[in-house]
Amino acid sequence: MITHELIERIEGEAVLDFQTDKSGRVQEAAIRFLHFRGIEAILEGRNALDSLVIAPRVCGICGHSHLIAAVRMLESLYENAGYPVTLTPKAHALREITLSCELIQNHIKWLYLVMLHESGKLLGEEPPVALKALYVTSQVNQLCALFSGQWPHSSYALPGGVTCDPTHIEVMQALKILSEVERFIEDEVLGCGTELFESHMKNDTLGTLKGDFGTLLRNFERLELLDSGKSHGRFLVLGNERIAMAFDVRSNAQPDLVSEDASQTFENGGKTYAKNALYNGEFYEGGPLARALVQERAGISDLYRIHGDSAVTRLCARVEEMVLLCAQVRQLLTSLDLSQRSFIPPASIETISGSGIGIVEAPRGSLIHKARIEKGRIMEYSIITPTQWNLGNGPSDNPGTAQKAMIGVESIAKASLIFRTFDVCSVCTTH
Amino acid sequence: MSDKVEAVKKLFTSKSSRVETNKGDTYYQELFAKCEARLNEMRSNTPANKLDFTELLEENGIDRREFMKWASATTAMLMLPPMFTPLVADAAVMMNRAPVIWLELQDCAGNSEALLRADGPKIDEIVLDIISLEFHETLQAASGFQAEKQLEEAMEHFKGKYLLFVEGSIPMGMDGQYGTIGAAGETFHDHLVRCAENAAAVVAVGACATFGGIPAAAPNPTGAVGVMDVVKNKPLINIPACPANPANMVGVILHYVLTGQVPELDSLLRPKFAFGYRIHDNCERRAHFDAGEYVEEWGDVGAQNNFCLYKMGCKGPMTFNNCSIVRYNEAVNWPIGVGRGCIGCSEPDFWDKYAYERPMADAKIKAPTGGVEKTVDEFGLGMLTAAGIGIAIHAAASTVAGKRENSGENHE
Repeated sequence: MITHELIERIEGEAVLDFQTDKSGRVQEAAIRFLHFRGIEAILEGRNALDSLVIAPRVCGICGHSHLIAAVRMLESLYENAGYPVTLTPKAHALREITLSCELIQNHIKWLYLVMLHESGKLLGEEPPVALKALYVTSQVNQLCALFSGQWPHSSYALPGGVTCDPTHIEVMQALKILSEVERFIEDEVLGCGTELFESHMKNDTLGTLKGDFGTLLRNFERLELLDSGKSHGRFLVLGNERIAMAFDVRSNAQPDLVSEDASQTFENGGKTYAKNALYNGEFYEGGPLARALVQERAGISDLYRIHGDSAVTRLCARVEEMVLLCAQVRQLLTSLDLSQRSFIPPASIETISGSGIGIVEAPRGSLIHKARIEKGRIMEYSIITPTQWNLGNGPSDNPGTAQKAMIGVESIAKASLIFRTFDVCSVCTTH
Repeated sequence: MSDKVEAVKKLFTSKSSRVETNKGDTYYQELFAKCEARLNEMRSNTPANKLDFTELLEENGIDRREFMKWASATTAMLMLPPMFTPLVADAAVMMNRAPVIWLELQDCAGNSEALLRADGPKIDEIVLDIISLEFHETLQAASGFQAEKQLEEAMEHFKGKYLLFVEGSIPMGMDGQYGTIGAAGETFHDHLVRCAENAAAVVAVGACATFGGIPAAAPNPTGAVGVMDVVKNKPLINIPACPANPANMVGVILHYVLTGQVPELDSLLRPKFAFGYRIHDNCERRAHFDAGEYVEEWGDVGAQNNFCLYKMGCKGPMTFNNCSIVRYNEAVNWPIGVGRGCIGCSEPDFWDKYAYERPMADAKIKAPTGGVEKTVDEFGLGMLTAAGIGIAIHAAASTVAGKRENSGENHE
């Protein structure tokens, strides 16, 4: 039997086409995205610096990641053209802080507005009120805006640094907000201190967590989904470190091995606007789980050894990343040297020709911006978004990451929930 | 062509383009009486949800004083005299009597995201709970087919009464196939027309919904247009900017609850309370502009001292919006606060004419009579080339005409 299921909430719309057997168990699942804007074509022919205004607007949910990817692309272009760009540690740290804020608030929203909500609904329970989560995400965005001017859609980064020149007042404000966010994560999300959370991961006792994350895991347990959702076991991180992991073997990842596959798109007779992203010709998973595994972070690696890349590991990786990023933001804020310059001007963009690539670890995985520039003008622009990795739509003999995770799940409703563990985002996927 | 220029001139120098912050006692007394009557009428309506605003405030530890402070600030934002403060407070309490349906079309979800971060005394609560958000595809509980059903029910139940908020542009190319919604594959165009049919008013939110936004930037691959090019014969309010400021979205709803009317609009159908003056007029760096102190290069001494960004391509002098006052993210900051110029995102065609650090002289934007210190009316003229404005005039004119014909509860 074939069933069409619409997936919405927070991240735009996707359509899943399920093929089920008599008992309703999922045999095949196809993923379609039905919106298109043509942003790559819009970028072409423009001044290269215009990408810093247009790129964030690819996505209102991860716009900051797009900004940083675009600025890194431009900096790599300078580098390749023989004009290396120098970034002060301060400028670098400020970019890392704002980028981390985007990840943290995304993860909180996913947990409350999507996962707790949808899993509760499936159990026939009144969805919990998410106001406290909205409040804390607005706090995180304030922290980001202190340095970036606004969220979403800021454009404060430029090749050579950042335009803001914060004072101690902003840093103190940021630290105050961060303390509140940390308290929220401990009191509400985990229901315990971060060290205890670590030991829960190590001992595989997460189900006893008192916070909202514990509720989520218990929801999954009641739905008998904790160990569902296993995919290919291939992971990719192309941002800060470049590591691929397939069948537990780690290797240095080469951006050259990334390709886009348009075989499923409308232009080739398919049914979606989204292209698949492939590494070495195969589907790889990106995002928090991939990042934790390739960095060999203890708690998640322990869970992975026991449960593989199942729902419980994937859910936990996103929550663990919140905790980790808060600690990193704190470290960056306390070690900022405000006397350093924010910006060191590079050569004029009109003198620069060549190619550049900028990669960022966005909330849902590796985001890639590639461009060819001639005398400061964009000739070609190509964007590969994280969801293209995770929600790639392959044929039945070679399913994409999320497709594979849904196959064998006992009902369409449960498979849709597994789908959401990947944190769906259709907005920028079709760009 | 000369006809067109004349039409543009007329449009932008007409009385409707001016902001009058003081319209005289008689006007405000009449309006006050009208609002009181409207609120009494609203009070007798059954609220769309059972939530009690006062209780919610108490639960969240917000006292009456704090709330009244918010009400007084909001009254000022709506360009009403202080005597309206108690009415604005009453209207806020009754926001659950104004049903809102929110559509997302060809968008990036940025305006929904901005709305989620609405400010005020935990206005999150006001927006998400008190406002009767009857349908918002991405925020509501239901999804998929359930959501489609909910939309139908909301449209039927609140027929002629709901405000339709639209986020995102409408792709007209390829028969609308660049954007479809739901299992039946309805195009964004058809979806919008259908949902707008029984709306009390349509509110286009963000640069995409108002003027086409980034998707409509050259070469406009999908043939994207704004709501005013599609929806006719309906009161229409544009709240441009990328993203639109949530304060302005809340302001429009509040104004509607308070008066039963759409707020006073400029020639581009933007509420004057928000778009009646320029970024430049209230900019924190304005004193440096007047003193001739400019940032000449990113990161220079001028940049470190927060000098004016005009020479770095700041479009504040020709952009109408209240960001310099309202700011973003609970007022902690705004782009100019971090040393970035304004990109003019609340103006039509900003993506092609205003983008990034291109100084205004190079951006095909010229004030007709030279200089940046011109009045609102004169500026409007220079800002837009004939191609861009053609659409806007047409849409503005047809919508205004539609508003007259449609003598529902929203006439002025």
